Amino acid sequence: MFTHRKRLAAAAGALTLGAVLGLTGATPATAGDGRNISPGSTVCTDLVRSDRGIYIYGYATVATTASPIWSVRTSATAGGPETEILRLPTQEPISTNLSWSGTLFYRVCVVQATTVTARGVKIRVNVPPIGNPVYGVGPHTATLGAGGSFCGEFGVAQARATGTSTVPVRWTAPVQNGDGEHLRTIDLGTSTAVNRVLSLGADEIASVCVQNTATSTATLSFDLVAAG
Amino acid sequence: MVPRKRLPAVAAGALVLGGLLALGGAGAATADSGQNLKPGSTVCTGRIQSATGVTVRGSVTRNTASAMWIVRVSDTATGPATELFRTATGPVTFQLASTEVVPPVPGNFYFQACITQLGPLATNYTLSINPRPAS
Repeated sequence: MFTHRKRLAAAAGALTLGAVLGLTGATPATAGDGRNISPGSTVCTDLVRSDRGIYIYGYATVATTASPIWSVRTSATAGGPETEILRLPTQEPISTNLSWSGTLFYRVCVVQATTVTARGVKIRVNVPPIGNPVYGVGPHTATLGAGGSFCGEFGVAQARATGTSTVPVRWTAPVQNGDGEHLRTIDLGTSTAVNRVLSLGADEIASVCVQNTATSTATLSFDLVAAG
Repeated sequence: MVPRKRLPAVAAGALVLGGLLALGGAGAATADSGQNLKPGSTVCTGRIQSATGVTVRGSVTRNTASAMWIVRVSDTATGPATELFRTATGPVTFQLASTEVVPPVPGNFYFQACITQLGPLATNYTLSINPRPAS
């Protein structure tokens, strides 16, 4: 359950996020946000590189005592063979971290193994400062049931949004300012692929969202990278 | 050093653990359970050996206790252990459901599970660690 205390924490996190972005222009954390994640769906963040493991928090709220599974996968290289190092059934990972000395790439997935739809999913992944983090490596990925949506990625200035899906889905790019306030939403259309450069103003931060408007499950990925 | 107040729980756990080890031998599952685990107290299982990671589960008394669950790993049965995984359960979510933890690199490691009581009231608890079935 998303308590008032957590809302305050989330708001504080958004402010911190904005402050960090304003200073560095870099992605300060790996994040993914989903809605209406139906049974059988899986949503995954992009990769984060760390020398010292990761912290995880968020929620995957379902109206049942069963829990979605938080799955953490690692690889020695970006896009290389993965090992699943954690399967944690919970609706809310609290103070959860995986510690390991050695450079690895991590991604966090929520596997919707329950029989009811998860209304909201929030995934946040952080690396301790001594972990020499590199965030935002590669795309977000998902197997998304009909009606589900999933958002992630961070982009500033000129950013190229790319994505592919096995069925037509609706692509959008919400834009917020450094304080986390929503400014506008860029419509990227409904299709099986998207590839568009977003021109963002100063203090504007974009992400990518996908909504499965089809009647069948979509297997998809999306990314947002600096447009060279 | 084990504080005096934890000794009864540790002793009870050792009896259970000893029984399981006697049945299963080193490297088999270990389990622990006890009553009246005081706030701030920590209890740990013995170490088990596994090349496939471990499955950990446990519980504390519903609505009275929060807990931190920790898995440590070491290269040898008695050598220094480092923390591999930790997660907390709150006063409402009182169970650690069956959780699989695997080191990021292959190898035959030793694992130990611990629970630290974070809530304001003493609690009953269960804690078990088993080799994870090979996938």
